[in-house]
Amino acid sequence: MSIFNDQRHRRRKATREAAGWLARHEAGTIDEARFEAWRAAHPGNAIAFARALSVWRAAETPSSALPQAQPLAAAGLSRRRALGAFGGMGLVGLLAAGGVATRAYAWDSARSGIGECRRLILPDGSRAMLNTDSLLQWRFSDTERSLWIARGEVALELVPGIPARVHGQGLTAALSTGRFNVRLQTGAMDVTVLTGRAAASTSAPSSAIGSPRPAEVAAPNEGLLLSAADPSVRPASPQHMAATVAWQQGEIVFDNEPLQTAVQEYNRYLPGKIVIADPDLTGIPVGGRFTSTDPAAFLSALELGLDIRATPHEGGFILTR
Amino acid sequence: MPVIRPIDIWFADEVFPHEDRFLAAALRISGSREEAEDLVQEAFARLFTLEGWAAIDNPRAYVVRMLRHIAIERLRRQRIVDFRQLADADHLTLADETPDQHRIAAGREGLRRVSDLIASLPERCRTVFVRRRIEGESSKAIAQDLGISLSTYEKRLARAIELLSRAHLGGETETAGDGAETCDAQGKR
Repeated sequence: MSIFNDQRHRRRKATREAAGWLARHEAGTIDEARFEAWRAAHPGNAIAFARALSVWRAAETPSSALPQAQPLAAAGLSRRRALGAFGGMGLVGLLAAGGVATRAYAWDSARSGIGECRRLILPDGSRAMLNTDSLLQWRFSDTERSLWIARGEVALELVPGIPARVHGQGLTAALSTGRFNVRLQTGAMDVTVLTGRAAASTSAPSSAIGSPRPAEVAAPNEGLLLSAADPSVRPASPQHMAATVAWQQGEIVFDNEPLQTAVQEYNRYLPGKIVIADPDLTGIPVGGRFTSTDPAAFLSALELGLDIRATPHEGGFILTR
Repeated sequence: MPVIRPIDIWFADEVFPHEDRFLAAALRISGSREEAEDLVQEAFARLFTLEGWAAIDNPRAYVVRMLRHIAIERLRRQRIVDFRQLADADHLTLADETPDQHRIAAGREGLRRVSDLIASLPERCRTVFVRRRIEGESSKAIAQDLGISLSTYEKRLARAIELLSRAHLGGETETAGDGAETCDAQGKR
């Protein structure tokens, strides 16, 4: 902060001094040697002098300089126009109109393709949203709210009712009313709680000896990780929470992650995958926010920022230095 | 070396009129207004050291590209690369190819803006500025006619130029307000 304030202060000083020199030049009283010494002393001085000259030269149209009411707030307009040129580049969310549900045995199901995102309304009015390449099945009755995530990642918004049970990878979590993000990983199910509660429910018999452990329960802004090991609850940072739900806006967020992780994450959304050819590249930390279905900006950022080249190959890309 | 060199005139006529645009571009690729101003300042400083400035075809596009390069250099020095900024930096160059209709309009507004600024100068500053710059009277004649010393005249003229260049820097328009007293104060000294 103070560095910038100093710079600003120095610029002001240079602006004032430059105006003085130009005025002395106009009045014919300038000491050229001293002026040259001043101008050479700092790049900012030369800039300030040229700027003073620029307003001086811009003021040459006689009629325009007379003090009179001006028809336009020209300054504001040009600023707005300049910004307008950059506006309208917001990322476009990707929201499919509705999920296609099909009946299979007692379970209903909905799926999304790679790069697709689907929304659907469950029988009790709860909502689900499927991220890329996901498969959700469900069975609802007066006594049951069961969801089975067979593949991928699903956001859930559960209306009040009996506790819902979410199954995935042979593991089960009990969810209260609230909003959740459930993602399958290899051998694990990761439940992030936005509102409500998520509890680990172990269907496995408790070990023969020892008392039953208290159930692991995750509260808002916490994550519940279920795996073959003991379930664990960990706090989720605001950045992590934002990154977790970014896909619902068609975005993908990296928060200081190794390039390899970022590429894996991106590949979930891409029919043609990105491959890192050079193992030296895998650990480079990256951050940023992108449109999940279009890697163009991501790849060009890699090239610009890290000198990593993306070569198209069989519908995907190969990354090399 | 002349006080006003060809590069100064080139800067005055071809570079500074687009300063708003540069600042907007820099704002898109930097974290704060201060950083953006600093980016623009560095681009200008580098421009002054260029031997081949006269050969630059489209100074405006050139500076926008420079801003992008400098931003990239800075980002590369950091450990973590924020891709959002770089992705936007890419859009910048695209946006810069925008048609010249827009460019021309912006230039005209720039001119109109300077006359706005002159109109809002404190009276004593404005008088000497307009008589010297617009009406082309000699400095001595103006000072004599106003009954002020040449050095007072010089200070008023300097103050006018200072206020105009500051206001020309979009963010510092607030300084125009304090001009009323300071112009007099300096002028009487």
